[in-house]
Order: sequence, then structure tokens, then C-alpha cells
Amino acid sequence: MKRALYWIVTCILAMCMVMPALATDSEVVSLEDAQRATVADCNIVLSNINKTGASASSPGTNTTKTIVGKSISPGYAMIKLTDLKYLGAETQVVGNYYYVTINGQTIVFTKNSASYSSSTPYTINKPEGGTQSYTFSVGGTTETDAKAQLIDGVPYVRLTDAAHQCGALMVTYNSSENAAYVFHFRVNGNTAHADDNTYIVGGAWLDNWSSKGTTQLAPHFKVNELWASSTTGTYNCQLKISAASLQTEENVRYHYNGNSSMTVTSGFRTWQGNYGTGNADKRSLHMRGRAIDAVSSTTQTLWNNIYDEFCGGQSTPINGGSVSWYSRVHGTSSSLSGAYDLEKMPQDGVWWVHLGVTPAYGSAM
Amino acid sequence: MKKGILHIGRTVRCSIFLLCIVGVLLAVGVSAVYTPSTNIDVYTEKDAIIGAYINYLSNASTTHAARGNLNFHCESPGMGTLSMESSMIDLEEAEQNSYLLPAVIKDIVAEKKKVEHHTSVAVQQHDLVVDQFGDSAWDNVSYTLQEIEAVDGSLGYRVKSTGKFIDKAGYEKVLYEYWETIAAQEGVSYDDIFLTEGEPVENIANKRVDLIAKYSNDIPVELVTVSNSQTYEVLLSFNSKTTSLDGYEDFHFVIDNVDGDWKVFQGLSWAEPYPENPTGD
Repeated sequence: MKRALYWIVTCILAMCMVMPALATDSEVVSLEDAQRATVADCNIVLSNINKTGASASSPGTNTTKTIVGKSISPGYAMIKLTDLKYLGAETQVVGNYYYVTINGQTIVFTKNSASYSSSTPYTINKPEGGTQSYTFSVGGTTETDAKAQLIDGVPYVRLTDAAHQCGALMVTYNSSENAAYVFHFRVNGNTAHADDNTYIVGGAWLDNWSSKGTTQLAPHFKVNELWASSTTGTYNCQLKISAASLQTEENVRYHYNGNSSMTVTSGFRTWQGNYGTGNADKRSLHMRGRAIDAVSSTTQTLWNNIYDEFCGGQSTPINGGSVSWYSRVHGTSSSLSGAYDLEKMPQDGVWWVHLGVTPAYGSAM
Repeated sequence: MKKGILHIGRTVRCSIFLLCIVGVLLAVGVSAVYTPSTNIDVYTEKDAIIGAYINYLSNASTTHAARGNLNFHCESPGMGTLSMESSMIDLEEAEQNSYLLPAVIKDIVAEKKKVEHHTSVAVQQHDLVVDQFGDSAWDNVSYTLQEIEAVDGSLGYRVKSTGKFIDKAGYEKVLYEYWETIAAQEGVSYDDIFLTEGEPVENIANKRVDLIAKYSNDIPVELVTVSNSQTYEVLLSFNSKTTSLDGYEDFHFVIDNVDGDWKVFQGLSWAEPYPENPTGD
């Protein structure tokens, strides 16, 4: 009797121990289910770049859009092809090819293939006359498991490759939310910010990216003069530069620097690189691929030449050859849409010019 | 011999008994940690979840208050105002460690961290609204609903101009005709623009991608996510205002009923004003 009672009590206690674990199937998954669960939903937060809440490791968030992606074994984040529209991309499926078009660039993924390719054609008007056409072509390879593919009939592509190549400043992971974060200047909730500029985009996610440094982007400027070479880690040598910025660079070189060598001291800046740059705005045009700092090979020559044009604080067009130029003296506000934005930047005893391209310029090209 | 067996048997039974007690204590402990997520309220009406979430943020003046009131499911907490530095790690590192896949056994530490994060974000959201719209902002909240595309579902094909859904064959036909017309207009062939089946993807460099870039905005059909569930943006007004004095606007959160009942998919989000032309270099 005593023994029977003992076993009854033991069994009840054992059940008490096991029941909480069985109470909700969402808390504990069987080993079989775990082995099967090689595809699972994961949250992806798309965000614009904000100063508020920013740190050296990431921007703050603004006008976020949360979407549902997939995580596939061993844990690669995949984004729905169609959700790239929230970054400003147009997508279309033509046969087995997934086409993503954004800011003058066309990226092509192939269903069930790890390889993807990108091509960006643009034209530079030579200040001395004539034009020169360029096609910036790069390719990448994802891990085999993370190839472009249909999941439940929906086309997916690897998040890091797709978002970065679409021009995202940063793609990261938030451990508190268990979500991937994509920071991109075009994010604006359900409808992406408009931006008609053509951008040349590249980085370490591409095949043989480090060997692309000598690629000529404009008559007098190469990739390695504009990429973020001083940033460490994932974003070393990241590049995003607008064709309009390249045009500005060529024009300033010709008209204000005597058609002679001009040195870029800061081209594209990564988030990390910009964060560590003194006096830099946390939403600097450098991170958007629309600004270049430059000096002439001889001290102050370029700055002086620009200053001569700007000393009166003009806000009217300055003759710059075939295009109109506008001036802006650093520290004053003005409405400059539709043209170049040149600033002279005498700070801390160093003279350089900041060649910014205002957003609306792209639509005027 | 029997005594020996009995003795051994008693020892074993005593161990089982002690293990059971430890198990019960552990189970109670686990339940206590999960309290916020096991007491999830069920919302069958969207107005109820909206009211509950607004009430939650309204009372989230402290972390303690926010944690105690966390009785609904919020998939993503929305925007905060403080740095996320301690939470951010490289995505590739997270992928290699399978962080984005559901854990086989729920990680209690991770769950606790998530709850702490959600409550912290809620307090930041509460405070920002008070800061921007005044002390009484949470006492006078109104909202409008806007149905938006589902965050997850199947692939749909839609005609942009009419909003009408078509099938895959219809999509491909319209798309092909559109680009055929463009090709003819530009004096090239369709195959000059797009890859033919089986062609290496790097051949895109030899195609007229300039035409794809030029005309993609006007493609008459689009790919969308379709679902039987409903997803709404809940657009908020505080003291009858949608924009604060400092220019903060578009305060909203997102609800859906993907799993049958209503839940908050994305917590409060907004647009903070910023100049398109930065003042610094």
C-alpha cells in the first residue's frame, strides 16, 4: 500500500515537471521538427538613417518598415524580391531571372543560382566637349543555400547581397529583437523616397571587389579614389557614388583647377567612417554618394579659385561652362535644388572644397 | 540479498523524488520568467487591439509600468530614440550562429532580453509623444485606419492602373508586350534588352540595361504580396494633431490578423524631420 502510494505521488510530481514543457508547443520543439525547420520566418526592419539614437555601430531609426523575410539553414536571411520596392527598387520576373532596377542600376538574380550580376550604364559630359559612356559591371556569389529561390512559390534573394547592392548604407542584426536591420536613405515607410540619381554601387559582398579599385569611373577618377578605404571590417572599400557627383568632379577639375590633377580627400563614407569624422553631419551627403571633398595638388589653389567666385556670397548661377552652377557658403541655408552645391571648407587650418550634389539634380540630368 | 536490493531501490526512489521536486521548482521558475508572454490577451476585433496598444503606450511612463502591462503580442517593437549599440552585431555573424532560426529550446535569457527591450522601447515612445505633443498627448488620442499590403503571403500579380489581379500568364504577357513595344520604339529587339533563358547572368553587362532603367518605372504590372489576412496602418493623432511643433509626423503602428486574432505587428513608428541638405560636411 505504502509502495503504491509512493509511486502515485512520484508520478504526479513527474507529470508536474513535464507538463509545463508540453503546455505550449511553441516553447519547445521536437528534435524532428527542429531538423525539419530549415526555413523560418524572420523579421527585417527597413529604416532610414537618423541622428537620434545613432551610435558608432549603427544609425538611429527613422520611418521604419518592418517586413517578414525567411531564414534558411544555417540561418541566412532572405528577403522577398517584391519587398525591395521599399528600398525604391522596381522588380520584375522574366522567366527564371529576377530583375531589380534601382537608381540606374539593374541587378539580375537567377532562380536556383548563387550568382548574380549588376550593370550600371551612365554618361559623363566632358567639360572640354564631347561625352564618354561607361558601364559599371560587377557580380557576386551567395552561399549555395542562400541562392535566389522560390520559397512557397514566392521569389526570395539573399538579404545582405540584395540590400547592399541596392545601395543600403548598412545591414546588421539586432539581438534584442532577433531581427535584421537594413539602413537605406530611401526608406520611407510604405513608399520609398524618390531619388532619380544614378549610383555606382559596390563593396566586399561582390566577387573580387578589391581588384576593382583601378576601374575608371570617369575620365580622371577611379574607383579607389572614391571608395571608403579607411573603414575596417565588412564595409572596407564600400562604394556608392552618383554619376552626378562624378560629373561635378570632372567639371570642377576642369573649370576651377586648371584642368590639372585634383585629389579626392573624402569620397563615399561608410556609417562608421562618417561617424568618426569631425564636423560631419550624421546624415552627410558623403554617405548618400552625393558629395566629394577635394583639394588641388598645390596647396589652396582649388579653394582660392572657388573662393574668388564665391566671395560675394552669390546665390545666382555662376558660369561653369555647359551647366549652371550655384554657390553655397558653408553655414548658411539656401534652396539649391536643381544644381551643384559647392562649398569652400576652411576648417582647422585646412582648405578643401566640398562638392555636394543636391537631391533634385538627378532629375535635371 | 533482498535487503540489499531494497536498500538500493529506496536510494533510487529517493533520488527520483528529489529530482521531481527540483523539476517542479524549475518549472515554476520558468513559468515566472515567461509570465508576460504566457498571459497574452486575445483580440478578435481590431478596435480592441488598437485600444489596448494605445492604452499600453499611454501607461508606459516607466519600465516597470511597461513591463507589467505587456499583455499583448507585439511582433516588432517599432522605433526607439536611444542607441541600439549594445544590441547590434554583424548580420553575417548572426547568420553563421543561426540566431535568426527559431531555437529548439527557448532561450530564457534571450526571452528576458527581448521583454526588457520591448518595454524600454515603449517607454521611449511614450516619452517622445509627450515631449512632442504635450503632457496630455496620451489622454487625447484618435486614429484612422489605412489598409496596406500584407507583410507576408503568396505572390500576386496586379495591374497598376486598375488594381486588378491577374494570373502569372497574364503578368508575363503584359510584361512581354510592354518591353516589346519599348524595344520597337528604341529600335532594338527584346533580346537586346533581356537575357534569354539559360544565358549566363554576367551577360547582362552586354544588354541595354539603360532601357530597363529608363522604362522600369512605367511597367504596367507589378508583383505584390497577397494574403487572406488583413493588415492596417493605424495613423495616430495626439490632441487632434498629426504633426508636432518640431515637425515629427506620421505616427503609426501596424496591426494584422495573420494568425486569426489581431496583434500589433510593428509598434509605434514615425518620421523625424531632417534636412535633405546636411549643414555639416
